[in-house]
Amino acid sequence: MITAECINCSACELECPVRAIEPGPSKYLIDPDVCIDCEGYFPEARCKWACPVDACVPERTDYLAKDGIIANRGSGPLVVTLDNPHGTKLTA
Amino acid sequence: MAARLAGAEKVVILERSDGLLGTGLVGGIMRNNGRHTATEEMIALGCGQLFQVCDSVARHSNFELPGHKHAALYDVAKIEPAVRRCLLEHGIEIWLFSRVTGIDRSNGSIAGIKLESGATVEGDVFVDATGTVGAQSFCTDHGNGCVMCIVRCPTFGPRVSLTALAGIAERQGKRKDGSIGAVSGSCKLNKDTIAPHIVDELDRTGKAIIPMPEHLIHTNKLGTKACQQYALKEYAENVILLDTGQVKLMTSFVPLHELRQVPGLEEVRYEDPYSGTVGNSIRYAALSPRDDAMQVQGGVDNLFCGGEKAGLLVGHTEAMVTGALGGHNAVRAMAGRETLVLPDTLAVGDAITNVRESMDTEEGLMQKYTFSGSVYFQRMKAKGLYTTDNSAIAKRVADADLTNVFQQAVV
Repeated sequence: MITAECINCSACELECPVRAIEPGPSKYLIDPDVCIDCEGYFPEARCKWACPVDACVPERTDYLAKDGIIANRGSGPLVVTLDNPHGTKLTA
Repeated sequence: MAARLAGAEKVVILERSDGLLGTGLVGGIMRNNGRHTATEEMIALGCGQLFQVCDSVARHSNFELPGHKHAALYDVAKIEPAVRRCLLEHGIEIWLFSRVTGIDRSNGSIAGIKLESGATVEGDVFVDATGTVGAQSFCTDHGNGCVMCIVRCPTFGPRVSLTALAGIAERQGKRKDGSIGAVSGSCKLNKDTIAPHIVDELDRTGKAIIPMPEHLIHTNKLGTKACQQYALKEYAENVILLDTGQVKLMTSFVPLHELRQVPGLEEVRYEDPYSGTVGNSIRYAALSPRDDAMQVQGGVDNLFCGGEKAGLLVGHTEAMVTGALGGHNAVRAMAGRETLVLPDTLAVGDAITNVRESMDTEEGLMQKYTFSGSVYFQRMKAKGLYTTDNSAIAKRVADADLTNVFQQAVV
């Protein structure tokens, strides 16, 4: 997948060997039915190699790891109430 | 707030970022011109709480600037905690870091909202207050790129429209040249980088007006900004600064090298957006089609809207008015009650209807509407709706049999 860090530079689209990537409404999107993780073409995913802002993270496990690095992005809501003004982090 | 007052058992605000208010964090001008009338109407209608919060953190009240009377400026640093406290005290839950990325449908309704984290939040009714600013790609396509504004798309993720997720076609505001959206007009300067005598004047009076050096006057730029109520020649011929805690620059996106040629601003720096030199965010390109009860039309039967989603209305006052009506009517719809449409004997009712009708025309899509100036304030005056007589405003609301209507539980 391509995360919201995407700056719409088109580098991934141009590099993709199987044309799996197209511009979406707010960022580029990888078509998972076309993407083959660059097997047989390159040793690592070419979009990940080309992306200048590390927005292309083809493997889901990589994406989850990235969530841990970008604090609070995609990692569950912080619920704030009157009795709990500093909030409680939900896991999902 | 209005949904809770109407008797909703549980109200949850899903906020994409680490705090509420979005562009309200860099705004601040309240009660100028017809906004005073609208504010007092909302107080009489029983939904004045947020307006009173703004009043409570005002740095300056009842002052004049060119073309604008009896303005108040809230402190942009104090407004978010004050609003948050008010909402929490009314029993509302605030979910931060909760970017909406999808919906679940069921029989022509929205059954739940999916968050970026994968969580689903179920609900009976929903209010789309996702605004119209961003994402970065939009500011790149229709503006000068991401200017690093308060919306902070790169870190918290771009807004995703609930209306669009429901498959409902949105409308787009236009600029005079036919291009899409409008450039946000707000700019903030760092107070510490301004000459002390100007800061003194700002702290004392709330404003500073410095003549723009002749060679830097660009009156043609006035037409490009979203806030048409400030598209007056005084705002091109002078650098007009307002004290909102930081310093609000009313002449938009002056390149830094030009701004530093203005006496007293020799070492000035932009505070918001960081790239104010080249412009600001692009907005008004994702407007929900709605009726006068703020119900979004088409596709689903339990979606309402407020704020910029509701039309080409600029300003916090305008967002509070449309958001309050959207929240109130969401609860009415949930309870199977008839929705409330505010009458045209009130400025707030007339504006909601007039803006919806105007947006049906090509020309209307090129305008912006506000109680504080431009075409809608002219209409307010022509219809005799503009007044600063608070008792007359209360009577007007009483005559419509709507005193404290927002305080009455409908479930």
